[in-house]
Parts: sequence; C-alpha cells; structure tokens
Amino acid sequence: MAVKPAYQPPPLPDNLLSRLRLKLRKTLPSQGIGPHLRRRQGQSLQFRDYRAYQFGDDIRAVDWMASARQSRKDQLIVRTFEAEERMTVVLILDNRPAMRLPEGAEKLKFALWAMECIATIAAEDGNDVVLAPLFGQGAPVRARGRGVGPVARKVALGLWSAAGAPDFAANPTTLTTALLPFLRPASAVVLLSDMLFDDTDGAVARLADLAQKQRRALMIVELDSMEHEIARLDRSRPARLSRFEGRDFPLAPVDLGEDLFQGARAAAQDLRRARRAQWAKSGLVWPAPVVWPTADFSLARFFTSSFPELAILRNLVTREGPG
Amino acid sequence: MIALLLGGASAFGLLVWHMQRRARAPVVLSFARLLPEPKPAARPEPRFAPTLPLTSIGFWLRIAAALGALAAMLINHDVLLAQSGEAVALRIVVDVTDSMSLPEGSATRFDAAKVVIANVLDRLGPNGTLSCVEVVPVGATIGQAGALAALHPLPEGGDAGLLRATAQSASKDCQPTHVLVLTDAVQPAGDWPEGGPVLIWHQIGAPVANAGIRQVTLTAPGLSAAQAGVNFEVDVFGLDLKPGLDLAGPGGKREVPLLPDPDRPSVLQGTLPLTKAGSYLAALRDGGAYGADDVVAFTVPDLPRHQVDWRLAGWKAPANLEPGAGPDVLLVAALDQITPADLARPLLATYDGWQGGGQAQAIGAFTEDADLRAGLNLDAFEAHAPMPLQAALPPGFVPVLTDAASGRAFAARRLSPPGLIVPAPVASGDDQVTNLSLTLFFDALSALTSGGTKLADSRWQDAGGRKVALAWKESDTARALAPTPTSAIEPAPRPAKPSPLTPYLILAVLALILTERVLALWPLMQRRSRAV
Repeated sequence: MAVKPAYQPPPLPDNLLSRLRLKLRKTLPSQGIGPHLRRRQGQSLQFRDYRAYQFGDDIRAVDWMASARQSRKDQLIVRTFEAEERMTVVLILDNRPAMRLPEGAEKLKFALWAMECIATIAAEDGNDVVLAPLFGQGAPVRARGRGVGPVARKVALGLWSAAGAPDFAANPTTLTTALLPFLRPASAVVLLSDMLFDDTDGAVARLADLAQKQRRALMIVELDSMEHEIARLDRSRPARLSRFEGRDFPLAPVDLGEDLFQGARAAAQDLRRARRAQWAKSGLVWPAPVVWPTADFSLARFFTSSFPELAILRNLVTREGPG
Repeated sequence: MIALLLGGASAFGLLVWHMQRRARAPVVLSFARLLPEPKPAARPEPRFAPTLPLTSIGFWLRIAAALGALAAMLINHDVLLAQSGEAVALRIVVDVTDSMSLPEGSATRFDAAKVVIANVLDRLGPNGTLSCVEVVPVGATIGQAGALAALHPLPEGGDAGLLRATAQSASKDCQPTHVLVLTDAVQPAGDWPEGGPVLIWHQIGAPVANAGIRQVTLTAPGLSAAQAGVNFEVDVFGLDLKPGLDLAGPGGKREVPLLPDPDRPSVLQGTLPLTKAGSYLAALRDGGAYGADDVVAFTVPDLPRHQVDWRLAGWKAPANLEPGAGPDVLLVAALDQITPADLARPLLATYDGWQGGGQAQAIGAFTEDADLRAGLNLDAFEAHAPMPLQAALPPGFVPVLTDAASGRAFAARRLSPPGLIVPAPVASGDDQVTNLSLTLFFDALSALTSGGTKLADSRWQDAGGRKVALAWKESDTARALAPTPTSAIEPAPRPAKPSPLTPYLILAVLALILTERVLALWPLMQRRSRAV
C-alpha cells in the first residue's frame, strides 16, 4: 500500500499513565538500591509538593495543619520533598523499514506509542528523557519535565512520517552515531525493537555493552509479529517474495510451504539466543517479547492491554535493577 | 444493432477480464531476511481461470456501468420532471397567414388578434402569476418564437392543423399551462390530450362570402386526344356568389364555362382545350371578400407528342405518334422479334393469334383491365377468339385474359416498365376478326400512350399582382365564427418539464462505479479500521 497510514496518538491518556505509575509504585518497594540514578521524592529539605497520604508513606511527613483544613477529616495530607537523585532514561527506537510491518498492525506504531508512554511516565518523576532512533542520521532529542510529552509526540510523528515509502529492500546497519554521547550519563536505556536487525559488524552489540557499563541498565522491549504475519498470509497460491533488507529472492513465484517458515522460526530463535548471550552483562533486562496475536486484532486495543504488562516498567518506576 | 454489438463486446471483455488470474503482489515479511532459500512453485498458475463470476457483485456492477455508459451514448430521450407550485405559463399561437390581413371592422383580423393578446396579458401581468409567455407565429410553417410587435401577416396560406400541432408541441423554455390560439380558422375536430395545457381557441373574423380558384390541372395529349386541356376547380363559400372565370394566354382571352361538380355542391368545374404552350392567367370575376385566391398564373409547357419505336410489319404508326428510339421510347413489335434488351423498355408486343382466323373459344380467368378492354365485346371475342400465346410469357408479364381450355394467355400486362402482349391485328378475312383484332390492339396502344392529368404549376396572386403562396387554403372566409371564449386563464399546476435523460444515466454510471470501488476497497478499509 503506497499510502502511509496516519499516526494516531497513543491510546492511553496521560491520566491513565499517571495512575499506572502510581499503581506500579504502590505494589513495589519504595526504597532500594539500584544501578541508576533518578529524580524522585525523597528526604531532602527541599519542599516538593503536597499529596494525599498513601499506604506506606512515612507518618512524619503528614502535614497536620493542612490535613485539618480538608473537608474530609480522615484525609491526611503529606508533604513531599525533592530527592537528591535524578535519572536519565534513553529511549532508543528501532526505525528500520521492517518495523513498519505487518501492514495495519505495525510494530513501529506500537514502539512509538510505547516510547511516548514510557517517556511520559519517566518525566512524571522529573527525569531527563532522551529519545533517539537506532539507525540513520537522526539526532537524539533530550527533554525534561513537562516538555517531554510534546517532544516525544514530535519525535514520534517525525519517525512515523519519514519521507517516502518504506524501502524494505534496504538493510540499515549504520548506527545513529550521535547517540553514543547520551549514553554515558544515562541511568537506563530502553531499546524498542523486534531484535531481528542485522548486526554483522557488531555496532549494536557495542552499543548494548556501553549501555550496561557503570551499573547502568539496558532494557529490551522485544516486539514479535512473526506468527501473526505467517497466519495472515494466503498460502494457497504461490507468490513472489519481495527483496528484503538486502536479501534477494527468486523472481518466479515460490511455494509458501510450512518448511519455509519453520526455517525462519529456527533462524529467528537462534539469532535472539545468540544475541541475548552476546549482550548479557549485569544490566541487561530482556523480558519475554510482546507477541502479536495470530488472529486479526486492533493494534490500539492490543497496546492498551499489553503496555501496562511490560516488565520493564517495574524497573523504570523503581530503583530496582535487572535483578 | 450497433448498440447490441457494443454491449456484447463490453460484456465479453468484462467477462474475460474477470476470468484472468491476476499476479499476486509480492509478499513482504518483516522476518524475510531469515527465511531459508525458497523453492520455486511446483505448478505455475495459468493466466486465466475458467470461472464464471456470476456471483460477483463487482462483476455485475461493472456490467451495469458499461451498459449505462452505452445507453448514455445511444439514447436521446427526455424525461419529464415534475415542478411544484401553480402558475400560468402561456403560449400564444398567432395565425399569420394571409387571410389575417382581411378587414375586420376598422382594422384587420391580425390587429384584432393583437388587441386580444394585449388584454390577456394585462389581466395576467399584475397578479404575478404569469411565469412565462411564448408567442409563436404560424403561417405555412411554424415560425420562431419572438416578440409580438415584430409579427405581421405573411403572404402565404396555412391550415388549422398546423396551428393545433403548434399548440400541442412541447417547449423546453416555457412548457405551457395554457395555450391561446388566435386565428380566423375553425378549430379542427379531435380530442385535446388529457392532462395537456388548457387550450383556448379564439377565432377572429366575421364570416364573409368568398370564391377562389382551388386547383388547375393540365391534361396531356395521348393517342386519342387531339389536344391538351386545362381544368379548373373553383371553391365557393357563402351564398349568392356566382363567380365567372376568364383565361388569358397565348390564344387570347376566353371565358371558361363553370359547371357545378355533381358530387361537391360548393365546387365549380371548368375545362378548356389548349392549343399552345405558354403562360396563362386565370382570373375570377366576383371572387368575394378574399382577393388573393382569385387570380392564378400558370404555365403550359410544350406537350410533345408520344414517341414510338414502331417495328410492326404491315402496319404504320398512327399519325399523332412521333417516330423515336431509345430506352424510354415505347417499342411496338412482334414478340418473336424482341431481344432480351428490348424487354427493359416500354413495350407493346404482338403474337400471331388471329392469323388462322377466329374460332369459338370460352374465355377463362381474366383480370379487370379497363384500359385494355375499353371497346372489347367479350361475347364477340368468345365467338371469334384468337389462338392463345403458345410461348412462355416474358419475365414480369402476368395474364389478363386467358383461354378457358388451355389456361394460356390471350393478353398479358406488365406494370413497370409498362408493357402489354396482345394478338397482332389482322386486316383481311372475317370482318369480325378484323374489328376485334384492331380494337384490342389499339386499346393496348392507347393504354400505353395515355398522357394523364397533372397539376399545373400554379401561382396565386391578387388583382394587384401580389403573390400569395397556397392562397387557396385561405379561401374559406365564410366559415361560421365560433363564440368568443369566456373561460378565464386561471393558474394551474406547473407542467412537468422535459429534461434530457443522459445526465441521469451518467450519474447512475458514476454511482455504480463508486459503489464498485467502495466494495472493492471494503476489505482493506475493514482491516485498517480493525487495526487502529
């Protein structure tokens, strides 16, 4: 399809994201020692905000005068103070043309939505957020606080509406070089990808290694649409295979038999296993992939249900490490 | 036929187009880089799949669109579009024939008609109910609609049928609710179409007696006619009118005696022999109120005698037939001397029927042929009958008089080119036989050389020389005058407006194409809507 579908904002509104963040924080220990620094409420003398008392809050933080002014007498108000740590979250997005597949349920759209949402959650605590594409000449963008939301939307729109139709035949391997300087002060690096890119020269592996240095965390959000794409194929008739990421196929139609896809499944499994082994350092968080359903589905509904379940969110809103 | 061919070709083309198996778009997979080397398809797919797309909605939509486009090209038809509201859309049909210039009071009939029109428009104008007015002049033909002030009577005759047809015709600019006809002619009988506009036939002109020359015909000389003749018909309308007719021409001025036609009491007839060709002027005396039908100029052309190619041995051609030759000249010859080429000419052929004398023989089947048997006594013929023609009749000839015993023809006729076959005349022997043979032969010759009667090239004019085409159509000025119509022109529902069908067909075709496209894209749209 030559016409590029329009980019819609993430189907999760900001208030839902805030609630999600609170929920995550409630269910997890509030203290801990982690590998990354982050900005959070803490025990400093710098007043930050009033908020309602939550289970687990230090009773010494209750502002009794402010609580007495409340209409509900059982509602306690606590004072929060700026913590002295701050965190930098780097969100790297795999922007290969392959991420624009499958048509109608694009991995890139899921990744962009996830990027926006993660950036918003991270910004809630006043963290710095860096947004960057994995490949090409795009420049990373840094934002903080309230500026993160608009910046993330702008970056998402820019990546989605990159000029021209996607060139599936090209095999991008050139890393976004401007990205490297942003990694050093980072606390957490999140990579959103299907993890099927070609890394023959090891550039991404080196990036992964750098991202885990000095007790920093590298978190992988793996998007797997392979079974969905196979299920959607009309395999009753032979078809030509389009040239893809530098791989040539016969010009004549080929049989789309099961053995062909078994081979692909095995190759993908091998690739991920090898990559996991190669990248494994102390800071790697690579949970199970987000797997596309095999039946027809709504990407927005799929995102709404699967995003809150992303394992890496726990690591982002707490100081937990890869554990 | 062309439409059928085009329609059939379109349907066949669409069918073939539907039966072809389209190449699939190349498959794009996000993990294609990891695929093992694929195997070529075991069986290549054929270009066409022999399936009938009868259950395909898209196929029928395309067929319908193709047929609709074909219809839009070939059909030139109007549909009637209903209009809302009430109004008066008035068509005024004005008679502008020459009789409308007859005096009516201190003015003319045409002036009286204009007064009537002005009164009608005055009555309708202030109410604002008059949506449109169309003034159509009608003389010998229907004129262009235009302004009333520019109209005047024309020097030509007309008839009321044309006025009625004009009143009834459709209009694209001003489809009438009412039609006002202003004329001195009588309203033709016949039902006015139900649901048509309201017809008001306003007749003008008091009856006045009149006589006029209706028709001038010329009789050409034939074998038996020594001279050409001219015949007049004079119509007399009204009582106490006794017109006389004078004819002036190369032979001087003569009075034409007029006698009443026994079948038509209002018609007088007169005939004069003509000896010279040239221009003649017939003028009525006491011709009544309308003068333009009283004088007729006509020309008598040279009336050459009939030519004949006479090859009949033993007989000379009659003196008033000129010898001639050529494909159109009558050939008189014995049948056994006629070549196949001669059969294409006007022909009088003879055979030896009475050479052995007459014999008693019964007549069999015969065709009534007044020209051929003008002076023939069939009883005498049966008593002294000739031998029938033994040879086969030439192509195109049919028997008109046959022998009862053998069924063979005594005489045969062909219509085109004219031809007759009769027994050859004999001059010796039995007087009865001679008389019978001469009678039958010369009846046949006379029938083939008869000149007939033709209308003269007549030009009507009045006493002052003013020419009026078809003035005889205006002669009846004594017809009864119908009472002035009293019904007022009231607003009526607007009539349906004719509109060409083609734009609606094109619209339908576009709708079909749009529907077909939407249906074709529907699966993709559904997939996209599910995806978001």
